[in-house]
Amino acid sequence: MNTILTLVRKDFTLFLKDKTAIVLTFLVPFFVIYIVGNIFSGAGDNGGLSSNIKLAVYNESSDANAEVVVEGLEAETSIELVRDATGPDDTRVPFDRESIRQGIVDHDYNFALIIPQDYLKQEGIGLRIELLSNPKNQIETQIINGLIQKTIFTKLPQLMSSQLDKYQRELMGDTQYTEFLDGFAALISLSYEGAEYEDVRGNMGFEGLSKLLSSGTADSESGENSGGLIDGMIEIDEDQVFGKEIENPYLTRMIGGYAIMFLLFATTGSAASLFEERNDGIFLRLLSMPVKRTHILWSKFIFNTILGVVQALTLFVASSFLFNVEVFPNFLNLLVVSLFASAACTAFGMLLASISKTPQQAQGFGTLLIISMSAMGGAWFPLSMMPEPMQVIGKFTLVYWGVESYLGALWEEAGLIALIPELSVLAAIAIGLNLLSSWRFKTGNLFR
Amino acid sequence: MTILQARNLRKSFASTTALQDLNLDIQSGSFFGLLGPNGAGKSTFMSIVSGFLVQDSGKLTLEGQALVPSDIAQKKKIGLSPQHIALYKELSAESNLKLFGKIYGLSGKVLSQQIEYALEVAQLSDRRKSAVKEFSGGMKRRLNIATALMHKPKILLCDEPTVGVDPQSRNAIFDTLLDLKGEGMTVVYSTHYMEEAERLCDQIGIIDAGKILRTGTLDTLLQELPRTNIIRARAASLDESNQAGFRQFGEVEPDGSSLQLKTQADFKLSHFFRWTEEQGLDASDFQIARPSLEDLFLHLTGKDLRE
Ligand SMILES: Nc1ncnc2c1ncn2[C@@H]1O[C@H](COP(=O)(O)OP(=O)(O)OP(=O)(O)O)[C@@H](O)[C@H]1O
Ligand SMILES: [Mg+2]
Repeated sequence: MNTILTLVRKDFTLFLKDKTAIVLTFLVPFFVIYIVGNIFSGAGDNGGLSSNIKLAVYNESSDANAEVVVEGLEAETSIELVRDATGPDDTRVPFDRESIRQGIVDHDYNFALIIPQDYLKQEGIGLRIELLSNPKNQIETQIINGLIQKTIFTKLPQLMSSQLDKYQRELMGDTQYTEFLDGFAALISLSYEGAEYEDVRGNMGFEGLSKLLSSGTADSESGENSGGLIDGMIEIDEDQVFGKEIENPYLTRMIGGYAIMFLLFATTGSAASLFEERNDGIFLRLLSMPVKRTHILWSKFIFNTILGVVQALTLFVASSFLFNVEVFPNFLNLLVVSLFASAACTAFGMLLASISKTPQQAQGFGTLLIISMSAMGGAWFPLSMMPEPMQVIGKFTLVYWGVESYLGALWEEAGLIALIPELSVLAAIAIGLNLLSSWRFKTGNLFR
Repeated sequence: MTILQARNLRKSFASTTALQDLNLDIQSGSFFGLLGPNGAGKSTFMSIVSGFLVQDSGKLTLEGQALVPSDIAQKKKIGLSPQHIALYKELSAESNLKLFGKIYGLSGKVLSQQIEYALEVAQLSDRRKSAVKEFSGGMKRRLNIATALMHKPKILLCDEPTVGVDPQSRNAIFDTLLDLKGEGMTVVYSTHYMEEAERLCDQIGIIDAGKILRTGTLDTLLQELPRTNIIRARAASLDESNQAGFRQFGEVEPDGSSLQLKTQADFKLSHFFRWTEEQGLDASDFQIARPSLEDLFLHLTGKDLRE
């Protein structure tokens, strides 16, 4: 027991010697909970999640009632409505069916709602709307679907009132229905003090009644409660713009994020191995030979990049065999994306080695940066669920661009040309980080 | 001809000054010993010469040309056997030699010739396929040196190459190094064993606290010592009157089973031996100790070489 205590004390002594490692020990959990907390304790009403998911809306119908849906969606804090498209010279032009779809293809937004001209069913009672989507993120998709349904249910009485009026009128015949309303209004105005006939008659019919109703009682509760009853009346025509044919959508969407995290953690290990070689005196020997520091760093970079590509591809191939993720049709694209992603991740590892004084520090910095980048970059949660400033930071992370590239290759099955923007960012990250680390290596501890 | 020259070389680390105004001239073809205690700056000096570290200030020249770390032609003239075993432990002896040979630009027949030569030097021809991690400490040491010879450097820097080596291997290393010197190679040899410096080196630089205190041949260095002799006598061989007589030649201190006499300035060996004859003492009971580099170091710094 004494021996164990002595050895434990030794570990603490060693640990306390590395000030940076101590700081990191406390910083890592602090940072992780800061990010996760920011995501889950926002002011939103979706199970504690706050979000601002972009939703494009195009109201094709001229019916004023349809506009209440748009207004309802507008009032939803978790949704950021997009009402028009970018026209030539950056002007805003109203949507049409073509341009609203193009916005999804162009990644301006992932969801678009169309209220069609004939949103009220001609036959019977019910309504129909169209939803275009690129459900590349499961959580985001669920949230937006829930919000759209909620809004429509809430506005349902108002939406369908004219339809009910029409239905009733057809049922009773025009004159009879008018007479019925006249009589009914007279009855009410006689029975209730202060109820003028003209006012009551003006509010007669389902349309008027629903106005009265919605101004008073309609809230989200009643909307949801009526769900079971009205379910069949609402028809949402879903048109999935991307990923429609994908067999295992859940894994296909997540796998890119995991591949990136995997690459990042692997590269942290290789950063630590740089220190091992230094301690073995190998660097001393190599540098006494016709070898420059940059040779050593480039060789490490190339080796680890290739290793990363092999590992990432193995991950994908395994997911294909085990879970039917459609890897082989997109293999070339995955190879290219993996090459760029691995290069960026390896460059990140080199930077770690260059800013750390010990392998322990490299591990600590690595964990800190990888976890925060993964959280902020959208490997765990969709970016749209984070507070605005964090979304901006998220877009500066390597993880974000890696995840986007993999989604492009695997989910949207985009060609390499379409991936050029994402790949360029990854390449820029790799180059930038490499420049930074080669500058840091000059002053760092690795070559001493 | 001077092959390697250092002028006012300075190098500091965060908290320590490793070299301060180090000056050194190493003659071509010499076996130069860099003798100094732990932390004297021997490895730092070699690391700068080999291009791993960059000095804070001061100048280094190789064959009269300023030493530039990026100059490949210069690097090919230098071979370094680092203080630590700097080999890929998972690779075999042969693979290590092949790898480092290739880095020097060797290929084909020359490469395989040099591998054979290095394996022979390391006495590892029969273990060429074994991984370095399976070698004993001495075997690794020998390979560590042999690796630095792959490209036939003009100047070989050996940083404490005999640490942890048994006497037999040590002699083998010495023979190899002396052979290399015989072939015209300049050897710079760092050690804190004065016996090694005395036995091997024709030029010795005494280094302490980042400074070269003295350079010269063994003889010229020892001449720096004040002309005192140390004579040891077996205590049992001297009775009380003899001991009193012994004291007339200088200061006597007991040292284990012997008495140690540090002679006075006007001491003459002939007087001493006349006295032993008169007293009927056996001359073989007395030992005259030669002054050593150890004494010189003590004299120069006031401390022991291996403190
Ligand atoms: N990387 C380093 N960081 C900080 N200090 C160092 C470093 N390398 C050497 N030093 C310091 O520089 C001084 C000279 O060290 P050096 O290794 O050159 O001594 P040495 O003569 O080779 O000793 P030894 O015989 O023990 O090998 C020492 O005080 C040492 O603590
Ligand atoms: Mg040393």
